[in-house]
Parts: sequence; C-alpha cells; structure tokens
Amino acid sequence: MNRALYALLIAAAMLSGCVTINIYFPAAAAEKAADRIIDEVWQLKKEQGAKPEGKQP
Amino acid sequence: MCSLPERLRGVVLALTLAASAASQASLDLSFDRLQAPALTLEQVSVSLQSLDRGPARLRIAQARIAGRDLSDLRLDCAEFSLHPEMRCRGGVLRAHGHSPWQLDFSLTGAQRTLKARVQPPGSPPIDIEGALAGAHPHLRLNTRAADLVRLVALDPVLQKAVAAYTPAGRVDIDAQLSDFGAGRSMRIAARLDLQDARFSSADGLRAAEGLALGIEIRARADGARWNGELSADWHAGELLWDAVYLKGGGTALASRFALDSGQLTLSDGALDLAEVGRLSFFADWGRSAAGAPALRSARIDGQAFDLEALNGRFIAPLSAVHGWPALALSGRADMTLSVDAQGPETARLQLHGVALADAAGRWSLDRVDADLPWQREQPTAARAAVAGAHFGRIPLGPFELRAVLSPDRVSMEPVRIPVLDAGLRLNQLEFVQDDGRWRGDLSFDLEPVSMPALSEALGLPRMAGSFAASVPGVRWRDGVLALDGQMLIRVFDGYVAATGLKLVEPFGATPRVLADLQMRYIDLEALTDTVKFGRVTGRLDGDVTGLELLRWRPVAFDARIRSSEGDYPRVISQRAVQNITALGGPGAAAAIQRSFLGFFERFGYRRIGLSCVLRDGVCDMDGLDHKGGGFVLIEGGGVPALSVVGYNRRVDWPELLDRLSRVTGATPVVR
Amino acid sequence: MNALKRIALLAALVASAAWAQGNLEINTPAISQIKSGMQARHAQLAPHYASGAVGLGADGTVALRDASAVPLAQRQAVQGLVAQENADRAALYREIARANGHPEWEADIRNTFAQRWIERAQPGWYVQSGGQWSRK
Repeated sequence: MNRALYALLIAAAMLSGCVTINIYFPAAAAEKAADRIIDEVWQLKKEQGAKPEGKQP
Repeated sequence: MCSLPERLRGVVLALTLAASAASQASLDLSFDRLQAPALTLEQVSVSLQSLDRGPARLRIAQARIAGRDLSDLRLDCAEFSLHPEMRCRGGVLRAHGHSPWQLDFSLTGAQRTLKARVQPPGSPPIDIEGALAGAHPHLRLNTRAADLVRLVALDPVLQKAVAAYTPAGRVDIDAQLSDFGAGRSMRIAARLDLQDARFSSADGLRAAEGLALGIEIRARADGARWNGELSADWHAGELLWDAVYLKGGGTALASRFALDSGQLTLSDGALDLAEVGRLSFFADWGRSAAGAPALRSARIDGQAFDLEALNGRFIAPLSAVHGWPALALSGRADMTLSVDAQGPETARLQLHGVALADAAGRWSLDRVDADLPWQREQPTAARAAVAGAHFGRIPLGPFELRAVLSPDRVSMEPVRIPVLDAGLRLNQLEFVQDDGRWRGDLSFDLEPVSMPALSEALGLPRMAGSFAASVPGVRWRDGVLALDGQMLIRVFDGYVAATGLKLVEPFGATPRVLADLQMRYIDLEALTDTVKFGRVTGRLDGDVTGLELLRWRPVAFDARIRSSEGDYPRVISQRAVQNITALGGPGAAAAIQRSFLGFFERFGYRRIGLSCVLRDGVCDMDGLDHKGGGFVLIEGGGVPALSVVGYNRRVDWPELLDRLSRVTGATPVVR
Repeated sequence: MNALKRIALLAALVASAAWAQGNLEINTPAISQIKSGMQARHAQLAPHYASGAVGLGADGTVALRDASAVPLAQRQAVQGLVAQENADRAALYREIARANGHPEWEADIRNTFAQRWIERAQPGWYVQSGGQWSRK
C-alpha cells in the first residue's frame, strides 16, 4: 500500500514538475497566432501560410 | 638606419682601393658580422668577377633590418662597376620567402651621392636619391601609386593590426630623411597621398570607400625626442564607423606633436569639419603604472559651431540608427571640454540663438541662449533663456531657466513659464543620481488658463470658463513617471482629479499610461457647446477606473458617468438626443426625426447615466436602469419628457469613436 | 489521500491546458498598431532580407548580418530599420503575452515567433540557428 502510494506521489511530482510549464503555455495556439501575424506582416497569402502549420517541431 | 651609411663607408672604400690596384682581377670578400644601429648583417660575402662592368654577387645569410628578419639575402648585379662610380645595373634582390625585387643603383663622389631605383614585383618603381655623406646627408624616397596592401605588408605589426579591415588603395609617397648620422638632428618630411582607398570590417559596419586623403608629416629629432607637425586633409570618399557616417570634403586635421619615449603630446590641434566649424584641441598621453598608454590631459574647444550642419552630419544619423526621434536644430554653439587622468573635469556648452524642435512638430524651443557649465569637483550655475516655445499647438512665452548642475544632481530653481494668459509654475524639478541611476522629482501648478484662449490655440470651438491644474509631486524612477497623490484639473466649471497616474516608458516604443479619474460637477452646457454635440444643460459626475492607454490610445477602462446630485436645470436639445441615438447606430436617429418628437426643440430629463467597460476593443455599455431588453441612458422628466434607451450593449470601440467623430464633426481628443 | 489530491491537481492542470489550447488573443488595438507598423516597414526590409544584409535571428529579432551588401551611404538607414523592427518585435511579444493575461509568456511567445519567422522565411533569406547563419 505504502509503496504504491509513494510511486504515485513520485509519478505525480515528476509529471507536474516536468511538464507544468509546457502544458501551461499553449504552444500550438501560439504558433497559429504567430503564423497569422506573420501572414499579415509579410503580406503572404493564406495558401502559403496553411501548409507549414501541420508540422510539429 | 641613420648610421647605416657611416658604417658601410669603410667597406665601400676598401672595395674602391682594391679596384684601382687590379682592375681586371676578380675579388671575393667576406665578413662574419656587420653591425649598425637598426641593422645587423651576418655572414656577408661579396664576389666580383670583374671590377669593370662584370657581374657581381652579394650574399647575406642573416639580416636584421629595422626589426625585420630576412634570411638568405642575395643581390645579383648583371653589370657592376666601381669606376668612375659604383654602379649596379640589372640587379635582382632576393630574400628567402620574398619575391625578387629589381634594383639599379649608383653611388658617386665624396658625398656618396646615391641614385637607386627599386621595383618590387607588381608594383611601381621606388626612386631613392640622396647623399649619404657630407655636411647634410639626405635620402629622398619617391613612389607613385604604390599598392597600400603591399606597403602595409612591410610592417608585420601594422599588417596584423589592420588585417580585420582589409585595407586597399593606392598611395603616392614623397619622403625625405635628412641630417642623419651621429651628432646631427635627423629630420623627416613626408607627404602621403592616398587615392581610392577603402577598408571594411567583416560585418561592413566599419568601412570606407573612395577615400582620397593627403597626409603631411614633418618632424625633427632632438635627442630621443621628436617634435613635428602633422596634417591630414580628407578630400573625398565616404566613411562609416558604426553609427557615424561621414562624407569627405573639407575635413582637415592639423596638429603639432612631440613624442618622447612613450609620451605623446598633441598641441595647437585643429579639426575642421566642413560647414560645421573648427575644433581646436590639445592632448597629452603618458604611460600608466602598467605601462599602457594613458591619456593624462586633454582639452577640446569649438567656437560658433553650426548646429544645423552638425545635426545633419552627426546628430540626426545617430538618432536614426538608435530609433530616437529626429530633431530639427539650428543656431550656433560654443563648446569646451577638458579631461584629466580621472576623466572629464570641466565642460561648458553655450548656445546662441538656437532653435530646437521635434522633427514631427510636436514641440519646439524657438530661440534659446544658454550657458551650461559643468565641473566635476563643484556645482555650477547654468542658465537658459528661451524666447518662445510651443508644446503641441500651445505657445509658451519667454522664460529663463536657472539650475545648479553637479555630477550627481541637477536642480532647477522655481520658474514661471507663460502659457497663453496664465503661467505654468514649476515649483520643483530635480534629478539625482543614486547608485548609477537617475531619478527625478517634479511639482508644478498651472494657473487658470482662460478656455476661450486655450480652445482657440488648440483649434477647437471656443469654450467658456478656465482650465487649471495642480500637480504636487511627480516621481521619475526607472523609466516610470508616477504621480504622488492627486492631480487636479479645473475644467468646465467642475474638476477632474487623476490618481494613481503612471506613465511607463513614455519615450519608449510602447508608452503606457495608467490612471484613475474622477470628474465632478462638469457643466454640460459648456462641454456640449464645445464639442458641437447639441446642447445639454446640467451637471455631470464621472468615474473612470483602471484607465490604460497604450501608445496613447485607450485599451481598457471602466467608465461610468451620471448626472450630478443637486438642483439645477436639466434640459436636452433635440440635436443632442439625435446624436446620442446616432451613437447606437444609423437607424435610430432617423426614427426620432420621423416621429412627433421631431416637433420639439428641447426636452426635460431627470437623469443621464452611461457606463462603458472597455476590454479588447469592445465597449460593454450599460445605463441607469434596465427597461425591456435595453438600458436607459436618459430618463425623461418634465414636459415634454423623453427617455433614451439603448439596446446595443456591445459596441466596437473604434466604431464608437468613428461615430462620435462623425457626430461632433471633429476628431475626438482620445484618438 | 495525498496522492489523490496530487492526481486531482494534475487533472486540473491538464484540463486548464486543454482549455488554453484554443486561440490566443491577437486582435487588441495595441497589437494591431504594432503589426501595421511592421507591415509598413516590411516593404523596406524585404530587399535586405533578399540580399542577405539582414537575417532572421534565432531569438525572434532581425539582425544586420552583412552590411556590406548595402551601399555605404545606406547602411545607417538599414541599422535604423533593424533597430525599429526589433523594438516593435519586442513590443509585439510583450503585448501578446499581456493581451492574454500572461505577461510571463513573453519569452515563450518570442521563441515560438522566432521558430515561425525562420520556418516561414522565403528561399534565399538568411536565418540563424545555434549562432550560425545559413541561407534558406
């Protein structure tokens, strides 16, 4: 019982410790927003902008 | 180098004697070591096949000439003769690791008159003439269109120093060395003319192109000391040095100098900058305790500098590079700076009839005469008389600023600056440096300015009443201008009080303003007359909390306006009603006109109330009360009574401003 | 019990993240202003991207990487353009973070933009990665 509890605790701590920031920052949404702004600033057409969005770095 | 001919004379003499004795004989001579100041030759051998027009060969295994090491040095003369003069024709000079140089020379008479022509490979010939002996020994070196790259390569130290700048160009040299030898004072006179010279750093930010530059040096040795004059005249070309870009033509430098074992003094220096003016300078370098060159003292003076030309050539380009606002500048200035080993010691800037303005026309100082002295060790008194100024469209009258300047404090004496028919009283303006950071404190009062004069100056419709403000304390800390307490502005017979006013980076890329405003007892008649909104009689209170301006435009606030408490006439004109409804969209106004209400000019009302919460470009509106699906903006009262109800709660803020400007026929100030 | 709490907390975090993955607010007046300034400047910067004088930095800025591609007399002006563009870009990242109520996102937004500018750069433009410039 105790061991299982510890394992859970450690897992939870690690998970939250490692990924909190990444989870919290909406990377995909930020990329979308960046692409929309880049389209406007560089006056690119929508078609050009749509393709690279599918790629995940 | 100076005593080289003296030492060699013995050798040459011996050769001459040998030649007269047996003119057909071949001759071989060798020396283990020949030494003169700045010259060491080891294992020297001379071999002549004939003393009269035969081939000759000179070999030197190791040579050290002026700090440069050469090995396996060979001179082959196709035709060498000793009579009537020593002459080498068709000579080729070789050294290990160097391409062969062609060399012809002759040496004649008791004065050892030398005529030589040296031609390094791929370069124009260098002519050397002179007398090596006699009362006035001299040597003159002359070459035209020499390659700067090859010239620089002659000095490894110089070559290394300038390698990163890839210099190139052609240079004419005419140099004369005279009175060398023991017991004489050597003189040097040289003229260098650079043509089409250029250089560039790897990133291209330090570069020059098409440089034409004339340099003249005259110097005389006095023991270990050299005294002389140096002048440089930059005729043409362009130069970029980081943020400074200069075009040549009319830029000249001249100075006397004295060089004495690591100590350099420049005196009677003058730098002429075309159209701008002349800087005179003096500078003295010595050696620091660690042996590095260190500036001991310097003084720079500039008289009657043309600020317009200075701005065009130096100040404006520099501000552009840094993204600072451009200035328009004209008038004259005198400047002085003196520096000692610890840094700037005293400085003084005097302005004569200077006009200074923001290039975008936002403000100007029209005629400034100022004397701004500064001393490191003690405070100084500065003054600036300004004959006129304007801020926005508001003209300011003449005023004189007096301040005490010291390295870590600038404090201004109280001053009254005339503004229209009133005055702005600066009670305190002080900047103090603390831990390397400047902080400022300011307090001022604006005497009541008549609104008719102010509105006329601003190009607004004539307004009644007066405008006054009181600002007890403003602090400047780390790019934030913050108001202590409250700023009170008297306007439209009521007042506007601002609290928590903060300007964040007002001169930065994204200036922000934060404030809370309270408006009390604003006379609506005065206000509505002013903005051509249609007359409303009554009084208004308002509160704006969390006001945030970004780049001087509102991005967020929580505003609420309502009729003031108390007893006063409350009348609204039909035009004002129409305009208020028009703010809700185009349809509603037409509806009123068509209805019977169109017969009445004026209506009574009980209360007016409106709120707008601005977030994300949308104004979320509300009124006094809810009625049906809408909100009450004006609650009717008296006869004839009229209520205005709004239905459109969420209004696009830019759209609302647009409608407001259409209604009032003027751009609202908030834009 | 404690573990349960942790799990609940984690679930909440994941849930909030899922919620946050919608759209970022980029339509505030401040962002529009900065954007239109950058758009106007792009016409002046584009030839310098093409010539290689200006490149896209790894940190979401632009950099004057080879001024020699520009005539000497114009190099100062390009320096000015780069300075202004970088001021606007810094303001843009800050404003997007602020508009979404998370000023602490500024660095993440800057990084995201840095990647996207580079990804979207036209062939022939210079982009920076790991301190090195390369041509797309």
